Amino acid sequence: MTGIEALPAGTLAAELERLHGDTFGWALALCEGDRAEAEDVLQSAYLRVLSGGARFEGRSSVKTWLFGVVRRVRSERRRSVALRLLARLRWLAPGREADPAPGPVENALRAERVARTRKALARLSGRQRDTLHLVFYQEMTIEEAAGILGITAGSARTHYERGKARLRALLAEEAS
Amino acid sequence: MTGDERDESVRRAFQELREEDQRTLPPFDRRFPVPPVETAARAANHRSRWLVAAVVLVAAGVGLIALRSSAPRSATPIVVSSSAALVAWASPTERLLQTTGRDLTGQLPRVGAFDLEKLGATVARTNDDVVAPLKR
Repeated sequence: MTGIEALPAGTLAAELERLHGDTFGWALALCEGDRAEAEDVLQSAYLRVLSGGARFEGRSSVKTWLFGVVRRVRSERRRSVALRLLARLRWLAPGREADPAPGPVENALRAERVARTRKALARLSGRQRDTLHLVFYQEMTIEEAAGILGITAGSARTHYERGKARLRALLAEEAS
Repeated sequence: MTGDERDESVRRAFQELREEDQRTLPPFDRRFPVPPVETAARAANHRSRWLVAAVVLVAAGVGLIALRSSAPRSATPIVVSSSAALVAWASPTERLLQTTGRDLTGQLPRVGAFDLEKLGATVARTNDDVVAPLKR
């Protein structure tokens, strides 16, 4: 979809729906696994896009542009100290995490591994976490990740390498 | 262990994370609990609030101006003297206003008050009065 000058409202909504899964994952990563906050961020971002508050100008792919909008919305919400405190309370509150899938043992083990990954990711710096998410979860290139995060490709590569090494160490530590 | 193999553990972790997130993905439609109509209504509500605020401000301004204009400008009362000297007072430059023909221009002539023939005779006589001494 690169190189589109402008998108009609209908096409934009269709693109949002198509990218919904990826965008939710990105919002969740930005909110450090806080689902309620991620949903709020996503809703604000979608409304901003559909109301024309954020305009796609065709300088990148729709996905890159949309991820940038989500990141800006998240940053704006973060600026409120009250909201940050509330998010921490939510994080600490029990029962806020997605319930592990009931049923087979494999699902329970998987849910445990996912929880460990989330915990390990939460211990990385924001830049490292976001870079790894964009590269591994969203399967973007380091250059695309750099574009979304508003940093140089060299800087993104540094965050990527350091983050990867630290995450491996944290996952090993959690597993042992 | 190669770099790719080391990356594989991270990739697998993210893969599981992604699958878990997608399993609990909220439906797309649920992301829009505020329908466009309600958004428009909210915008209209905002506009009406601004309108009310503007009206209140204007009313307050008008009230303030009215209050200030009705209040006495000075706290010192003006003393009205009935002294005879004041009543008889005349401007020292009043005489400068006493120009020739002021009595004529100061009052309106009545209709039919002018007899042009008489007036002509008066003018002729006046001219004679002026010219005669000069001839002498």
